[in-house]
Amino acid sequence: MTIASFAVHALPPPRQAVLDARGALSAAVQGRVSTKELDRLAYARDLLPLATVWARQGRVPRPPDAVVWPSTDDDVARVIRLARELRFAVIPFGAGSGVCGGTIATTGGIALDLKRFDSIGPVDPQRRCVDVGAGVMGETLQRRLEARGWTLGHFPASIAMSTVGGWLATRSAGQLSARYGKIEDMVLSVSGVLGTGERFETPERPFTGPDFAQLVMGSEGTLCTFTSARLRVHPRPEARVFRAFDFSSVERGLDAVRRLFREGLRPAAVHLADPFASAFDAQQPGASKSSFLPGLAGALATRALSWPRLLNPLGRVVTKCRLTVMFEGDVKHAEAEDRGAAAACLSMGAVDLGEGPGRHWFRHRNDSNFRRAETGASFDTMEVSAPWERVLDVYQRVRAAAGSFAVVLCHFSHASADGCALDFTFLGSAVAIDAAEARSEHLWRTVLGAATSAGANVSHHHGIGLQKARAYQDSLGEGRHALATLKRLFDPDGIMNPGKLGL
Amino acid sequence: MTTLLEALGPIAHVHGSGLVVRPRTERELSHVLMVLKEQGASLGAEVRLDRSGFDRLGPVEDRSMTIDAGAGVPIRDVEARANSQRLSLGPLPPAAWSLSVGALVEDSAQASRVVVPGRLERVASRVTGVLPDGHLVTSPPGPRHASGPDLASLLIGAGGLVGLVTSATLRLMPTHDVEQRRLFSFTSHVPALDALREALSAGVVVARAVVRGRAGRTLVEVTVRGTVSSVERSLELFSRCAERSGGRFEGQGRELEVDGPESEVSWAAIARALAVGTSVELFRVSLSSVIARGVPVAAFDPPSPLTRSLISAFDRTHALGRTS
Repeated sequence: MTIASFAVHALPPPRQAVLDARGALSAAVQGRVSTKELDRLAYARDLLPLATVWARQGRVPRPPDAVVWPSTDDDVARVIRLARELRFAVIPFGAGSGVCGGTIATTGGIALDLKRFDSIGPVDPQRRCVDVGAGVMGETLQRRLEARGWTLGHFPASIAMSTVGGWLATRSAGQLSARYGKIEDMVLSVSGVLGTGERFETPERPFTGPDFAQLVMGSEGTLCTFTSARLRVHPRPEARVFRAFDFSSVERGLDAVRRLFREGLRPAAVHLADPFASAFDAQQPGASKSSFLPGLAGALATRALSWPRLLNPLGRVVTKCRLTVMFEGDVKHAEAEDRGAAAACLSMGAVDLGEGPGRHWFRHRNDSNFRRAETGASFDTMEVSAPWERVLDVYQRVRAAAGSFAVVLCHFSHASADGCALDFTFLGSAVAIDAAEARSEHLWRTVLGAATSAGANVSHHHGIGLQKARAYQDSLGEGRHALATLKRLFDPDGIMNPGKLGL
Repeated sequence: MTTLLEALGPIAHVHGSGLVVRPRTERELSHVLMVLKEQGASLGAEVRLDRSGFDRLGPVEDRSMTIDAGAGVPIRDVEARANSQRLSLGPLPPAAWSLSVGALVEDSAQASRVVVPGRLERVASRVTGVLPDGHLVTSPPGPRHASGPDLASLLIGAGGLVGLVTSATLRLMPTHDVEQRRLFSFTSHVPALDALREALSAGVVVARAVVRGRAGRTLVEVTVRGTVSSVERSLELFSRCAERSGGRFEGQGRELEVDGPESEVSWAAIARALAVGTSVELFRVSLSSVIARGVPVAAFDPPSPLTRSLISAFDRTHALGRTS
């Protein structure tokens, strides 16, 4: 990945061609356009870890030349048609919480902020769906639905700082995906504007021909921008039942998760933490203290992170790991499933920890990322998924590949009957900016290569952006031609979010 | 025809008044499509595609409950192999059992199965196929991905309009220990359908259901399968959902049936059929759509202009046609 960064005080000015077109842009979006430095700065990056390192250094990636705030599909279509005519890039922007550099304006252009698409329609109780604007924030949507007695069931860690449009663009997954699926499983239809400037709305089942919605979701703004979606909703659960177990090894824990699905149980959340992650989680404020690896997480201070070669081998001798399971819905059904899960896990030698650790995990499940960011240590995350027969190998190979330069933690989650996601966290000591960039590149090349060669895919829910673009293109093989055909059809001038997905 | 036969080579033979091609590898299928493109011919018109050469049936992968199968393998063979490991393709609609793997995976309605809570999941977790330009497409490994647009959608459920499936990794499930039926009555079809949707949303997977009007009431017979404990949990949950819609338990059920062809329909179409007194039998019962018998088949909307342009972009010379 090579992205130019600039010192904030040396921010490049908007290109003259964009300034010349300001009037036309303004007309396209009813005056809501800005070329101010502060606005361009705000839209210059997402939460790509390397870009956050740059931010601490007073640097930013190349900013867009202008920011627009359309509020109708026609506004969006006008902006895209103008961009085609004048050959500007268009970068759809939700809330900027992506971690793969998916909104960085590699060639400048126009940041298209969708947040004015903020409508939440009434719930159709018979069809169990709701129409939602692409700019609606996740937390707002969930609270609004809950107040009406419904839930989408989509709880990504970024829910407080991500939009529906961003979810669609990246094929987002929430922490309850074991039950509700990923966002693409919740979509009845999506609407938006293609890179041709043409509006589209995908059909609902039953329909003839390819599933158009599945072809545009995950395109990360390279084919189209979304403006709204019709999403499946479910009654708000009557109850949530939690239980946690300790297992003697990762292998045992993974066997247990598979068995839950095999026995017809459908937990909403399944979260298996490897030994290091279990220890780290147990040290979080308010957690019930872990009986294993006492004090390790405390020792995972910045200084200790300089010694990954010493810390990682501990994983061979300290093997205990924690599984958290949550069922939700009808009270009696959730309780019956919980009893079924307990019986299955106990028969496999687990120690039942009751509901406390699970409730704590659920309450604090989004805290840890922020805390890690505060330590001053560098940290990065990688999420991939694999079929069950490859999961352990992926885990071991990634640990081995990264073990010499980062402390590796892993959570196994988003489980289904045929596989799960592996969420790796790589912790390293803080280093100088030049070294941080080199280390980031080395880390990604190494760990993603290890994961894919062991049978994982490139991404489970973070998407591709710039960060994984090369690995993604490599993973496509001849499929690159199909992607290129889609690109030519939907974005013939190549103006939509250049560089992402390797396009 | 002679020129075409020569160009296609040994994988083609004359059958009746036309040609049949029987490729055994993706490269051979690519070659067929390239020849058709060059000669301005198409499948279905001048040449019939026989995919029985894609006949590899892999071992069952017990951990992920999957099996790799070539497009030409009959679904019944897959089921037999799965059953030998106490696994199954699950409660497929009756028409699915006469299909090959390729036909199942390409069929818009049959390419999905139902998982909790009433959502659709593809029967194939991974698929490989050939596009009309001769290039291969393979979906990423893993149960789910966020790796760009889902290129597998060019093949799965796409009716063979954009590309042709050559192999797939099919999802299995444990063979059921028990199958049980319950019969409920409702004041009309409206609360009956509400109860069904409520149960799906709550987490019941309905293997089959029959809904029929009788003496001013609507009867719903549901069938669920699974382990003893999961069936017990599901039927208790269904009972509570039925009660909330005013339903009354009427007994164990009698395996009601409805004759007629199956088609994928919306819940609105089912309601319309019930409103005029038709009995319906439901399979693959999801919140999105249902495969049903007894529901008059409304012609689907033709592909939208956008879908047509998508098909044209991939199949510029219209090399794809009807396949077998």
